[in-house]
Amino acid sequence: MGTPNSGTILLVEDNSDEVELMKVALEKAEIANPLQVVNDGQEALDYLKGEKRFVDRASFPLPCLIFLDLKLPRVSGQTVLTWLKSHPKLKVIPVIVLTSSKEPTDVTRVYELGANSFLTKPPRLAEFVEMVKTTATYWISGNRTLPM
Amino acid sequence: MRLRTHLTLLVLVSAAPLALFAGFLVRRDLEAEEDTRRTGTRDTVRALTLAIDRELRTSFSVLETLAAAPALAEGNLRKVHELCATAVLGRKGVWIILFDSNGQQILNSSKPFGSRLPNPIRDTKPPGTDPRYPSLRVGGPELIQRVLATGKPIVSDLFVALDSGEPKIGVAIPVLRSGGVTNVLEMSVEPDTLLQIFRDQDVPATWTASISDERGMILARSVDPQATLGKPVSADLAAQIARAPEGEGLGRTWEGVRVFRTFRRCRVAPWTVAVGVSTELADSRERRALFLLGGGAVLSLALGLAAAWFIGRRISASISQLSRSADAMATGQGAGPELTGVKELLELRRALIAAGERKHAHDQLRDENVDLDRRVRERTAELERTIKELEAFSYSVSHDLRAPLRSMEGFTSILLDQYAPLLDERGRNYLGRVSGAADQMSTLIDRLLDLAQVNRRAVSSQKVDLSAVAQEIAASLGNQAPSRPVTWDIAPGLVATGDPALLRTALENLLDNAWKFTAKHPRGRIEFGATMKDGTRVFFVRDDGAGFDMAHADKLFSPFERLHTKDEFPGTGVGLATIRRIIERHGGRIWAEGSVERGATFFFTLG
Repeated sequence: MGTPNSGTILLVEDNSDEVELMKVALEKAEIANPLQVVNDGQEALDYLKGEKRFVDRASFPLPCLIFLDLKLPRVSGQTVLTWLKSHPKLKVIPVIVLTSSKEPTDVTRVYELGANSFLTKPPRLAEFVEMVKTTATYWISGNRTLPM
Repeated sequence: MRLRTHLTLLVLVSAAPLALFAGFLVRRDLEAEEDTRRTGTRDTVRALTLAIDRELRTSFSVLETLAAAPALAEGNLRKVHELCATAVLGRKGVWIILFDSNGQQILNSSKPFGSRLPNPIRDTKPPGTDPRYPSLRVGGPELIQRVLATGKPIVSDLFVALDSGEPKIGVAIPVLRSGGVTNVLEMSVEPDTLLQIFRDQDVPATWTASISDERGMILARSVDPQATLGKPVSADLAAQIARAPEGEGLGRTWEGVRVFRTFRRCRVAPWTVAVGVSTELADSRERRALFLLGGGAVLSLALGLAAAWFIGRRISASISQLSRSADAMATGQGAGPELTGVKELLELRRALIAAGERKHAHDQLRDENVDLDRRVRERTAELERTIKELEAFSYSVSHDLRAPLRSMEGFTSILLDQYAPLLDERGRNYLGRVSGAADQMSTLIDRLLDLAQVNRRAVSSQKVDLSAVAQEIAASLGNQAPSRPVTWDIAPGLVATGDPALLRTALENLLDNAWKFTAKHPRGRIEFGATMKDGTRVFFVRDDGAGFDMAHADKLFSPFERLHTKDEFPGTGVGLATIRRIIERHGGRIWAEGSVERGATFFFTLG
């Protein structure tokens, strides 16, 4: 593993239960990086562009890792992914796409859009903790945070 | 070319050789007739000359008999006159004259004895003296002079008699006494008597028979004898006679009629008999025949052409009607009225109608097939749409159901993990029940999705080693509870053809069931094998577990039907339904046998 990284993790998730479970999982996985949460695709875009309530980069720094749910209100996860991966600077931010079921999403299409990982959330908390620990540790330690 | 043109050509082609052949026949017939006519005229001419010769010889004989009469030698002239009159008795226009050596008539049988009589030598006159007969001499001096000079019998030319003033011919012989000619006996014959010869020989009325003397003057003629008597024969006949004693050829009669003529000279007298047959008559016959033939040909041709036109029009109309019928049938209308008298066309019409009906039936069938095809496609598309919608629905449901389950499971496990000390035993028990219920619901959702997937996915066809798959599943189950005393009896080398994933799911469910239902027995035995039944290989999974009542066997394979409570044996009630769908999608069949507490056997075939 590379050097520890204290970059912000951005979670794009509309379900508050899932947000809470992600917090527990990160805690149990002993990942101490600060977590920012937005509840839909439009907020995700605003955050990444530094617009509206996310103008202050000090409070809302660019993330070093994004957990992205595909099923989102207003603007979909695919749209966010497409915008991000076509951005000249932001496209290097690793994106882990999460789905909560065996929904037959076109995995190939998601990877083509630029997702770095595509994961199905396991039903049991213990397994979920294990998965978050493995992927987050890999992507955070292996990547540098973008300069502000 | 139109049909009518063809028929017209046919008529022309048929008629032409017929007309030629008929023409040939007529021509030949006419030629044969011409031959017959020539032969006929030749024979007639010959018969006429012979008859004339015979007549003249008879005359000579009569005269010779008289010359030898003793009365003449005795100079008994009265007696001689009597004899002469007797010799020509009953013969009209014939009389006998006795001349002396000076040419003086001594007696004349046509006149009373002792009449004053002329002397032709002395009284002769040049031709043209008698206005009725300008070409004839009046009196016949040459006859007497020649007989006196030559002492031989002679037949004269035509001349006008001095005694009667009418034309006559004379047959004269000398009367010889002691080496010299003392007298001449002459038989005078009026030319009219020669006409009797024509009648005797049956000369046809349409022929022109004539007798002419050495000078070419007409003695007798079968046609218009009075007008032509003593007239010269036609110039061309005179020329022909001058060239040869007999012959034939074309010429013109005295009246100017064109004739085919045959002539012959008599032997006794220097006379010529000629018979002419009008070529116009023959020509007119030929013309009439040709006219009849031509008219007939034209008439039959016209009839043929009319028939061709009429029949052609009729056939054309029939064919047109048939064409219209065919067109009408093509557009689905009837064949139309029957309009033809031609048998073949009627047959064709019947065939067309039959074909039309067949085509109509065929079209209808095809339309129905097309319609059926379209309906099947529509239904299929509808079904596919429905299935897609159902899939979308079930995934949406599964996603939406799974999310709260994750929350329930996640938070109960956090409570049990981190807040357990704050709860009493009962509280922890309740949390455990929540967790278990969530777990079971999660499994149920997964199984339902499996069942849906069995229905949805395409079944591949590969070799699958069922024995090996069963071994793997058995090992996996054994690992879950290593302490359970279960004996596995898996027949080796059972290879089947089918979808590897689906067959694995089926075996998993079957062996899982067997594993589950043997759990309450102290010892368990699970068997996987195959047997032959009616030539088909039947696989089976047998256990000696809880079994079931055969009375409920029909419920086994329906989804959500369970024969045991969840507390007795956990389960979703979907597993056997899934197995049945998998087997059925492989074209196989599944059934079960069992009894309570004596185990169960599941049999299945694959295609």
